Amino acid sequence: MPIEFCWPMERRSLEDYYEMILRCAKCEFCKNVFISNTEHWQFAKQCPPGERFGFAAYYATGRIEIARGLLEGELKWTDKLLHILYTCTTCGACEHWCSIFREVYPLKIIMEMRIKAVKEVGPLPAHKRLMENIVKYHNPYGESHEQRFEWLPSTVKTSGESSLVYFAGCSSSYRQQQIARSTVNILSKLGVKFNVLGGEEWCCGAPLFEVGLVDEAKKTLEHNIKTLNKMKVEKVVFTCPACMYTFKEASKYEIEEPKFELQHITDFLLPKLEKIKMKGLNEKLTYHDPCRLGRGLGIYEQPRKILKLIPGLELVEMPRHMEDSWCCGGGGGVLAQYPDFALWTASQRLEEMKFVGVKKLVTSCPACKTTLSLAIPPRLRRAREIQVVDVMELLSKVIP
Amino acid sequence: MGEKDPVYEELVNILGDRVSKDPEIRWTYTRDLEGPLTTDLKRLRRLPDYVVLPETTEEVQKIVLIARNYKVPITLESTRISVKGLAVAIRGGIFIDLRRMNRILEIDEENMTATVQPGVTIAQLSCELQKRNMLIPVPGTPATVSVVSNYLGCGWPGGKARMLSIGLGYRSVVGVEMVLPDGTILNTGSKSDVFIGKDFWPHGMGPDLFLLPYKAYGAFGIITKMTVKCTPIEKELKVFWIAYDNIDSAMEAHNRIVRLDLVPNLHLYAGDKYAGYANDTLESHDRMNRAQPEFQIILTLAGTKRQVEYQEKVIRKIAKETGGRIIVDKLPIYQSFIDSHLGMAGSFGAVWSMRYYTSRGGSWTSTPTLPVDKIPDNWKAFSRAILKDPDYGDPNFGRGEFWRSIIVYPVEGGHYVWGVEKGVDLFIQDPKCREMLLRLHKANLEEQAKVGISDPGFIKDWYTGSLGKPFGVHFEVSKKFKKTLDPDNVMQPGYIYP
Repeated sequence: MPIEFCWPMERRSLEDYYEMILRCAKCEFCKNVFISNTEHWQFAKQCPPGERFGFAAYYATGRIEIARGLLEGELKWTDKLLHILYTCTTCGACEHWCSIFREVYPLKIIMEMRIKAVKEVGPLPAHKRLMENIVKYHNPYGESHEQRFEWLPSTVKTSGESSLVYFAGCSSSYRQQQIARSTVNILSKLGVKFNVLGGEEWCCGAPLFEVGLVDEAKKTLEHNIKTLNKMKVEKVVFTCPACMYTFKEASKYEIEEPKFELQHITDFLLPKLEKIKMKGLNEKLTYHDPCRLGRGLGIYEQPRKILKLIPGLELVEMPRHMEDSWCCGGGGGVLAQYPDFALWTASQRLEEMKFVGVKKLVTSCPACKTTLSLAIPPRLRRAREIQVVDVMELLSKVIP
Repeated sequence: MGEKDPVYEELVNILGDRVSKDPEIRWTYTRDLEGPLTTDLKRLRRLPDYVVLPETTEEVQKIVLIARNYKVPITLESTRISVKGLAVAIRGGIFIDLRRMNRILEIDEENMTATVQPGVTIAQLSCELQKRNMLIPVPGTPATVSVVSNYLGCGWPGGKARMLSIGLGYRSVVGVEMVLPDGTILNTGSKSDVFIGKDFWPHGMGPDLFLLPYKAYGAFGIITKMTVKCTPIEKELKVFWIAYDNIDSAMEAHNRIVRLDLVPNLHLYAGDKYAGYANDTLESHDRMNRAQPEFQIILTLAGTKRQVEYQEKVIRKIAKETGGRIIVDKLPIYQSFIDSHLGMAGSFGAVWSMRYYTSRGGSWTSTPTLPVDKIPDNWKAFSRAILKDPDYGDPNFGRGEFWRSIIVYPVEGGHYVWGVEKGVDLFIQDPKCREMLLRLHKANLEEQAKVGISDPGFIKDWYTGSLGKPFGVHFEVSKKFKKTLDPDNVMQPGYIYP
């Protein structure tokens, strides 16, 4: 079969995408939310770098042309080209719509370009630091590996015999520990026996995969998979969508594949929560779909259903939600390398939250929580006038 | 130290970081939809020297004056969806990307007009108009296209909503603000009248310059503002399809319906037009082709409930008398016609137009505008062109992927039909198919000429004279206008005016 008619997963390098690149019709559907979902034009845009930097190069259509330029030998790696390439938050909005309309798969092309960039000119400085930290400390923050599970409350008992493992991930272990604590408290309250990996839990590799450092990423991911396979666990639950997405994609990388089921915590908890009566919470809030959880893993309904189970809670949707969601700005290595742009992206989301008259935003991703929280102006943060929380934090308050 | 670049320095003084001469930025303006349609990428592979992102009319004016001063060519784009290579800087120079001029300046509900900048898309305006129970009539275009370029260009064939009652896009234009090649800001329509100063009437002071920018593709200036007419959304809408086995019966019904001035919209589709929209494989494509009727009349009934009931009654009678069969179907594609009538913002049609145009579907050859009586001749000429081609073979029973198709759009009361699109379904990613398309295009022009139908087809062939046709007095006169307004040919050179 000619390569142009192959499913994109069959393509193994940027060169394999050339025919697909030519297929891009510049229809621009990759820039906006689905047209028929548009109610408020000011919240119809979907590509953060395109909207921030303006030139065609910063949208998916432009990046595809950059790929063509590289393949045709017309463009060389320059600082500007790397800026264009690495300001993509890899939110996948372009990929989502294009997979329906034109089947060009811009995000896959961008990821192939990043792999090529790393091979030919090496990683960007911030990404190199991430890599060094992950290799040395098994987390991207350079924190002590020994302290990884310090968040685990002494009151919570894990079960070494349980076939269920909670994979906390680096963000929840070091930066958003209240999410991990809330999660294990909820599991305990619901009588769920679970285990954790302790010192054997390493970074899943997502921060490296996202910036093209695939070889290093594969090693750390495979360590986790091998450990879990050896433990003969049946199921692993995640609070971090990026971790789960990375495990799910393992089969792409010719490494040992997981012999266990993967489940996001909201998906895992929903049927259990439907059977209990939760405490009331008289609050009005909105839900932010994390890119990896929504467009990546297709989990849109479960967190919403959970929120709707909480008595008194009013869930208000932002104009861009579900498949149309606007990225928090932190993905794809952007928060590490271009923090100002990441926070600009997050601030756009907070504007959208204000537009629907809500002061509290709930999400189900520790990385989204980090980026969105950082974008709250200090005065408002101090006064707690705008809050960003995880579904797990909210649940821990209402589960009796 | 590099050489001084006064053009760049002056542009930076006006626009700051909204100007770039980075090769990576400029490279992304070297291709539009033209790429997959032809093999002519190399001809177009010329980078602009600068890319600019103006936000106001004043900025556009200053850019134009710099270009004029330094005799630097200008190439334009609004929302980057040119289908004919018109948004590629084939002479280098300044590339003006108008996407940041994306504000809806006014929606005048009382006078039913909207004023927009060139970066405003059909979706953007439709979205705001629908909140006010209004719409703009738009052709079969992706909703991501600029209202301004769509109404003034003729690059995108097609047309669904209100083509019959209102007509082509330019019929909805009330007036424009335009920066001429010498930096003058021209207002057309009633706004040109210094005593009125408001857009409500397209023709304004005489001599009427209303159509100066129409089909000029930026050669006479840059539109920085356009006021368009809006129409109210009807209470009742219904889409109606009638199937025929031959073009003569279909044309009889077509003529009877348009002469009654009964419905806002009617199209005649022949062949496998829809297979390309809905299928991803040759096999499914072929299956759908064989299941489809050969000719279909597609009507949009609209108005009050009573009006729609009356329209339906009359059309059922005409269908019966002309041997047509009423198609009742719930395929999403049928819904697309209702969506398109509602302004395209939520249109499957808009999405599928783009899919069809370049994906696994068809590609078009000559699309002439014709008087009604020429349509059967046109179809038969096209069929002959296909029949004599060894690769296409029998159009009805040959290879499914090369089935012929035609679309007829009667316009403005049905006095003429615009854009009789003719095409074949083939996989344009395949270089052999591209060769076949170009061969068919040539054969079709020859067959058309035999029955007195002239149309050069592809726009760039038309204007660059690559078909070797003399353009005639009309073009020579327009060249004089061009010479007066733009003596150095800085505006969009290389397309209409070489």
